[in-house]
Amino acid sequence: MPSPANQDKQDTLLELLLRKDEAGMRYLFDHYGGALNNIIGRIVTEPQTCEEVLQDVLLRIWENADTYEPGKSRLFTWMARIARNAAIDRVRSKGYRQNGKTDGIDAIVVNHTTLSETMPVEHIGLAKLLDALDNNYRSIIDLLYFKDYTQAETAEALDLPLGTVKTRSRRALQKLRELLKNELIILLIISLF
Amino acid sequence: MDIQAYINSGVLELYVLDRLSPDERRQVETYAEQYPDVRQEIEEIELALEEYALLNGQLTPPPPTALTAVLMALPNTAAAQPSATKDDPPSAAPPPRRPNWPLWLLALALGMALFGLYYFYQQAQSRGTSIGELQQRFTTLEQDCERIRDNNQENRQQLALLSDADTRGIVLAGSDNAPDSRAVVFYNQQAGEVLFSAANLPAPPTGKQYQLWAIDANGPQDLGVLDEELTSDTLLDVRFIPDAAAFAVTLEDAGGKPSPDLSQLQVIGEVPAAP
Repeated sequence: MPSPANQDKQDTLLELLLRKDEAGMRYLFDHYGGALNNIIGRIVTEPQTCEEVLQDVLLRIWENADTYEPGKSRLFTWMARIARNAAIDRVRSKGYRQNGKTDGIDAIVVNHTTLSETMPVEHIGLAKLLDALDNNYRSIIDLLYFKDYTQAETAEALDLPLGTVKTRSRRALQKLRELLKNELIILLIISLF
Repeated sequence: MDIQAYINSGVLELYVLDRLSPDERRQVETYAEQYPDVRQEIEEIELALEEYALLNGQLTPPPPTALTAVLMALPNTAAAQPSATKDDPPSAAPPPRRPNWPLWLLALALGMALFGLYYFYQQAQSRGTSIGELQQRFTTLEQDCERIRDNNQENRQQLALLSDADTRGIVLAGSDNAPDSRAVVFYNQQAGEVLFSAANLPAPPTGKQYQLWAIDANGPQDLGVLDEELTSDTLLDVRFIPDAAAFAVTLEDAGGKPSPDLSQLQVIGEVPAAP
């Protein structure tokens, strides 16, 4: 069941992008800039380079919106893929010393802990969600979604047999969906008042 | 092919996460086209990750300088794309806004309030109309009441006079001119009042009017002409003449005369001497 708010946002953005309207860029930046920046920032850790990649990604989305196929995936999935690929291309290119992948899984998990501790009050919903999501589940989602980890690398990083990455990611996503559903209900109730 | 088992295998998650080999990816896409359940599951996984990414994105707001930079990098849409401007004039409709729940609720409440106001306004209007009608009827009744009260008062006064011991009832009997005519005068010397009733006077011929006279030591005194439509059940309050000896009615030209034409005498009656 698609969330109505996200569906509306996606439709609005796509319409603006296809119209080649400058407002489309502003809308993209306002509503998805943070998420795209987050995806890029997980892979490209250097802030200056990260911003360069973000600009590049925003322009690519704006320019290539007509190649997006609505029947195949959601708009955000498409945009997130562009962002991740752009970030990966950048770290693989010469002149950028890749250090993200050499970070162990410990670094990622520790990073999470400090994140939720230093989180501003307005992100309390996310903090609670991250706390509720078991560390192992969180790690597998983050490694696969945000980092450039293959199934094999993920299995190695999490010390899992290779065949279990699929089922583990399934369980992790199920848990995430369950938590988000509750979160959405609360958000919906809040937005009504 | 057990679709549920396929969904549960986690392959769809890896598909959305873009972690499948090209062969596996094509297989997932084939299934997604064949089975709506697979399509639906993929969409839900996408939504969950989207939500997760957006929540995480709240922690990493993009630098505003990035927006300035990309806006500068955009081709000048108005000048560089004449086809786009043709389809979309600069004053094109603003981007569609997402429906705003509180606003809709507010509009609904406002609409209902307006309807309510209109309804009560109508009610007040119709009540105002009926109040106006009632007020008119009330005024009419009040006037009726006043008239009846005045009438009643007059009747009571007349009754008081009639039942007064000093009141003399004088029957004016018909003269030779009109043997059947009768009239009655009630005369009260002490109270100074005179009442007249045309007990039986035929309607006067056209151009003529009855005139009432009191006769005292100075001769006949004019008491006024009688209304042509005077009925027998009316008691007229007429001018008092002290020490009247007799009362008479003559038939005169319309408007009356200063002195009576005694040849036209209709009825006459003498005041009996005081006891």
